Amino acid sequence: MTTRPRLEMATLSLAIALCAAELQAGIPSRPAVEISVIQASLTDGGMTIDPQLPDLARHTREQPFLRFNTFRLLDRRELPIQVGKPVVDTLVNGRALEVTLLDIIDRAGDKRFHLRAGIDEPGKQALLKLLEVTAGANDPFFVAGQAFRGGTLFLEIVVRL
Amino acid sequence: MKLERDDALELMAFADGQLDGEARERAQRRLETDPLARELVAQMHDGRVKVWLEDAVDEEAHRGGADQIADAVFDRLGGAAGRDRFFVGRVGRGVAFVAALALAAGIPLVGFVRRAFLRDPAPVATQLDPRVTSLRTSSGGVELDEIDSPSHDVSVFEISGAAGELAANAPPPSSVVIWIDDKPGVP
Repeated sequence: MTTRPRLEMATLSLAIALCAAELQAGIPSRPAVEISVIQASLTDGGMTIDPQLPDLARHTREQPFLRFNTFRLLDRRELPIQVGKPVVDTLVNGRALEVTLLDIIDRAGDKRFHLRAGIDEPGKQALLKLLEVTAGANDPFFVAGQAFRGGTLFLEIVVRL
Repeated sequence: MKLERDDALELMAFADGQLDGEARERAQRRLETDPLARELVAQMHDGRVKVWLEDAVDEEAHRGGADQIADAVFDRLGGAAGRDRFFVGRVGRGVAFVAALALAAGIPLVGFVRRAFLRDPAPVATQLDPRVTSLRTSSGGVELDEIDSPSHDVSVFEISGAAGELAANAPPPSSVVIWIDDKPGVP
């Protein structure tokens, strides 16, 4: 190999090595739990849904969503999860949402994720001591009811692969 | 819908295999003509519903106050609060059905909203018709396994699940909203 290709190979390798960390940071490990904090409120206007919540529209005629006409995404983050290791997300109201992947179940080729969740607040009784669900990837469920700045919070929790 | 108290108790005993002689024959005749009785016995044959009821009765025996607790449970079941609140899942519905029936018959039950109502839940797939299971291409929605919120009131709403491709005859997936009353209730 001549000197020039060797130099180009070295440069390429260095570039990849330098970018690897950034690439890794931008791509969450799988599976991950996505937590969206949605503020729902009832206003004088018509139905308003944050464009970042494209799947919410089909729930607006279902309880308890139909009590509200405005839905705004306040926060969204994706946290890698591993079996047995809890992850904690501090919510906009200061409470902590803890999610633990308990088990991954294979049902006829479909992966089902057995999750535990709880919502705690330092110095106070837990808002939600224990919640366990089993869900497929991209199957969201919601924990709602916390009052926040004139509205009500809906936490959308979904496993992503 | 209502069963007389003695009838409901007799049917529960029949489901447990505790009847014989004339009582057993009477229960069997009842099953032949009364769809409500058949449904109650079918739900009682679900082992997890039985475990929940046995635990609930044991709990009530220690705590007392059955009338007030029974009213609160019946309200949660939608007897007064409306049709939109109910527990999801096959076992959840079974529990709710049996509990509502027993309450209507005057059999006291303890408030289970704040307690776990499932133990060792079997995967839903095992309860499905195998043909449906094998045809499922969707993820199957969200199953609520257990919930406990001792200091806050909780309601569970069933909603439509994530949209996706479904095989023919496959039931649509469902999901849940766990609604927690932000104000602490009576523990």
